[in-house]
Amino acid sequence: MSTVTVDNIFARSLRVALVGNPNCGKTALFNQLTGSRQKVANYAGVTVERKSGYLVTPQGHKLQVLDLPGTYSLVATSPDEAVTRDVCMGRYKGEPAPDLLVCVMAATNLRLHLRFLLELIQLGRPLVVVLNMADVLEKHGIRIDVPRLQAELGVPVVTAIGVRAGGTKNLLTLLDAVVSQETVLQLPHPAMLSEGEETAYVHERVRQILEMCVTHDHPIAIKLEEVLDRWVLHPVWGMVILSILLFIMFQAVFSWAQPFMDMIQDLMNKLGVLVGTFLPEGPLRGLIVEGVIGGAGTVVVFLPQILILFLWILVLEESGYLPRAAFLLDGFMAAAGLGGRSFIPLLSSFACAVPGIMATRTIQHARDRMVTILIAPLMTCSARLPIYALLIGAFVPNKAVMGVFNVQGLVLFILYIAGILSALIVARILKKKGEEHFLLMELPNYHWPSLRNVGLELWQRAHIFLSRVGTIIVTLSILLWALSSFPAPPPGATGAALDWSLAGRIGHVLVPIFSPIGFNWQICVALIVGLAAREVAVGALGTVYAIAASESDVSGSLMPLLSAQWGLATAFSLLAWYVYAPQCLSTLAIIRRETGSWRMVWITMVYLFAFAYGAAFLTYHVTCWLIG
Amino acid sequence: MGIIDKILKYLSSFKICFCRMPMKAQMKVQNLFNEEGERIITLNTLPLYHSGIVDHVKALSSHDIIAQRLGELGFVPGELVKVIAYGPLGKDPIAVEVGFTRFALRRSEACRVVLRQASSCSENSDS
Repeated sequence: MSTVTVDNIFARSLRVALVGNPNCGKTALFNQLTGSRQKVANYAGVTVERKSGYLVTPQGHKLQVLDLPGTYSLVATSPDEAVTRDVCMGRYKGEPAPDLLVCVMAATNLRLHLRFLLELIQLGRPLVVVLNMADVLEKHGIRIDVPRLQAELGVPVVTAIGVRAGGTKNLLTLLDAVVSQETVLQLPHPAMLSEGEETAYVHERVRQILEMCVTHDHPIAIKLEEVLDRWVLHPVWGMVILSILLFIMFQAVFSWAQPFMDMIQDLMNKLGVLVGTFLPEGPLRGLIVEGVIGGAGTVVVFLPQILILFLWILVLEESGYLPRAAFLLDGFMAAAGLGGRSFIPLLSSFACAVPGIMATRTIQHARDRMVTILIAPLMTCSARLPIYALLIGAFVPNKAVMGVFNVQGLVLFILYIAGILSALIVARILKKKGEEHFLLMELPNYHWPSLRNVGLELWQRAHIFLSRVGTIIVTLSILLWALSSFPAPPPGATGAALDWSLAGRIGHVLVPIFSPIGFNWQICVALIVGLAAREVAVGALGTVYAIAASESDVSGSLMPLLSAQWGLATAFSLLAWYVYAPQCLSTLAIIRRETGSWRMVWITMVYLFAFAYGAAFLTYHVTCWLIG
Repeated sequence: MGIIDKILKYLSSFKICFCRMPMKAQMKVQNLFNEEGERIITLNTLPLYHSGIVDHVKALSSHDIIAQRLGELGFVPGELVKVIAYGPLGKDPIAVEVGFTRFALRRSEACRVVLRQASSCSENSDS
């Protein structure tokens, strides 16, 4: 039996990796160990999240901690499981091999988690074991003989309570002992087995260990899962509960966030005015007020929606409900070739695609996640409503059909349905034939969500959004501001200043491309300026048509003007365009951040553009032909 | 804790049963037998609230990743498996309990798990 010494510990801090099954409370333990000293990034080249941090032990040793993605086995079935496998084996490129593996197991579910531990021991690397959730053992009437377990496994075993402050004391003491070499880790000795023998051996071993080390004092009187699942997973009541929860979530993201968003927008406007008074009239003022502050405004205005949506998702995930929602919705989403987990991101995309795409992190299956990100912009987001309201108000008569339906409402409904149907079609096309795509997932035990974990996670989401996505959006909005401000119109020129700017000229250049779908140069200019955000297009149209009305009433003054100047076909064509509307920089920026590749951004842009153009073309010509 | 226990007891006193069909309609009779001559049934045909003992997990191809994962999750010979719920659309997927853990899986995945000694009905654990 060989022993391992941790060399050069004074030269660099020890690298510790937390590894374990999903739902073993590993992340709670990680949060408890590292507190706010965490960094969230991606593993190089994949979209798997890398969580790392550091901790200082009671004896003052600084350790680096890596929270590896949860996995059931070293035989990987997904990219995140592959990351865990490769890091554990010390063969992940760009990720040094951890000096010590800390295998986290839920003490209440050793039957499942021991198997993976035995597999890890077979790797023959330095390893310690943490029995997490030790606090609920007594409630479940389970007793574990820790010294015996340690003897049977041949590796150090400590208990921990990941959700309680101070619950990691035993682990910290053990880590100190390992670093100061008081505890010399015996390298576990793998049993020499052939592949076929291994499975049978491991299961036999799990059974033996359970028999020797675990005693059940009394059966649990009423199991929480038994009772709750009977309602939550019920085909009728389960769907009722799910609908209520989703309805509240949708309401929260859609309307409860609105006052906060208005407040932020208002504050940013006031800040712009305030800063403006201190700066002399000229390009610098324009750059600061419209470019920087205006751009930052478009970023922070998303925060209320993102925070509310993630608060909701995190609570559902932590409580153990989210996998059950995925179970209920799997049948419906399978029709689109997706899994149940795609539902919540898509639903939130009706409010805004940005939080929706961020929510795709809860989808484990890599391909499902990509497809969901691709089709999320097809869900009609709230930013498209101002332009829908303007065009429908101007061109569709406000009268009833068949007694109950309003034509305007009907058109709006058709626009929503067109988006959803297109999403279904895209998802079906992207579904790879023959690829085995499985659901097989654990329905974890119910838990009270921990305030600390939810808070920490929310803070991380906000931080990532502001720092990574924010910088892209602000940069682009400064660029856009420059495009629409320079060059200034010559003295004595008539018409809107926007018309003289580069953006205006690009708009004019684009006219030949867009005239087959009935767009005039005013629309083209509005589309360019509307890149910043879809709802900006309404304001831009107002500017192009030189409407001097106050900001709030642009839409009202535009309506009669547009209905006089545009043909019906052009209006419908623009509506069809906005079902797809590829021009939303924030969406493209979030796709870049979430997928880590510009390739996905290009794919999204090109396919949305093609769909938008095709639909607008069809709509324009069919309408022209119909009205003769 | 007392109040929560009371609520749980109250909730569990309901028998949610209108989704259950008569036994005969549910049970697809399979005349399959294992090597010892016991009647066997695959997990995808096991009726709601019924349980069986895992005989083996059969791989559908030489590199059947799902069969492998089923084994890793505890679907191993001798374990008791109980069906606890059906999905709302076409009764797919199904939720099952193995040991102390619950899993959701599609019927197409569940057909790999071969059971023996399907019990008549193990529901009403509270009665």
